[in-house]
Amino acid sequence: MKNSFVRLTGVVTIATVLSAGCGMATSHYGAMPGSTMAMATSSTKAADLKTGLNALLGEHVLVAAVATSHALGGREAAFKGAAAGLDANSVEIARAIGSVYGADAEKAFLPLWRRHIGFVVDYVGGVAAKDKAKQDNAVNDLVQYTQDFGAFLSSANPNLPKAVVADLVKSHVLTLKDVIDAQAARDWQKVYPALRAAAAHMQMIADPLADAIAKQFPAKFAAR
Amino acid sequence: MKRFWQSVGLAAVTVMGVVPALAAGPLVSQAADPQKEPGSAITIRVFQFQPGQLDVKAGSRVTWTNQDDIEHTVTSGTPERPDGRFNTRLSGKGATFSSTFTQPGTYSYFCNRHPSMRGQLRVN
Repeated sequence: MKNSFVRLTGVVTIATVLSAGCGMATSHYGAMPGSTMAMATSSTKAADLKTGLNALLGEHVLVAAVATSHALGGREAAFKGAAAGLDANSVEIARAIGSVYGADAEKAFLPLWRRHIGFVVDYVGGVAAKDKAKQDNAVNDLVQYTQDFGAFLSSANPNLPKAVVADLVKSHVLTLKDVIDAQAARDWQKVYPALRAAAAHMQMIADPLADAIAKQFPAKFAAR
Repeated sequence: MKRFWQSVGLAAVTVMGVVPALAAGPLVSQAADPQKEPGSAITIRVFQFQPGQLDVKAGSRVTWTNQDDIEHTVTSGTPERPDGRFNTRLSGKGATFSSTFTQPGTYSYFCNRHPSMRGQLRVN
């Protein structure tokens, strides 16, 4: 039973990544010959950006949940593996930011993004140790972080108001916290819906982010 | 169990690069050649000091202006080794800090709230 979530999350993660890959690949080629099922296609660079960001941010939540599950389960080697995967995802997200705003912005974004992961690790540590003070400190750090992240994106893109971004990131933090709390409580019936909600929420960040970037750089993200 | 969590924490920061000591050297803007002007300006924008490296003449007044809607600091030294020369909070958008540099040398600085933000001043 303890391993079922890990297996489920692993399957969901792989499915998400594969489906994202399929979605991005067929954006160039359209429906596959002989297929009776119409493959999703992206007809604009803006749509490609949206698809890519949704895939990366959804993957972030799923891999994070795998990592927190291993951490709470005391599976050190598995946690290290998941943490490495999560960091690889972080590098890809930063790369996506850099593809729009340049290498310096990518270099500035990555440590900022990694920082919130560190605070989540702190929270998980507090939960595992049943240390309420440590949990509260981590949550406070994460709430403060939402302001930093909001400021970063609003500085990069005037179409993204700081308060709006901060609020969306706060929801990300809280929905992921629900997953962690359910994992820690071994409430396996609650973990899946919480994870599903947390992953789905990332579309509320990816979509407006992609739209704001396309609006900021209309020539770069024009229809083909 | 405690040892496990210590290793989890260490694994996390090692992989995620959160610990400032593991970060790469100072972030240097690659956008342009270093500038030499009296009364030079450094803009803090999108969590970067722009330009990241600035050349000024001895006696120049350098002004940092925060264009981000969040508090940053201009703290002399590096996160691993602050040197105490200056440490100013720029509370939000529009906040400024100025200092005159009379002694030639290389002055590294960073943001204490966001330690990956680093810059360098070269006084000639």
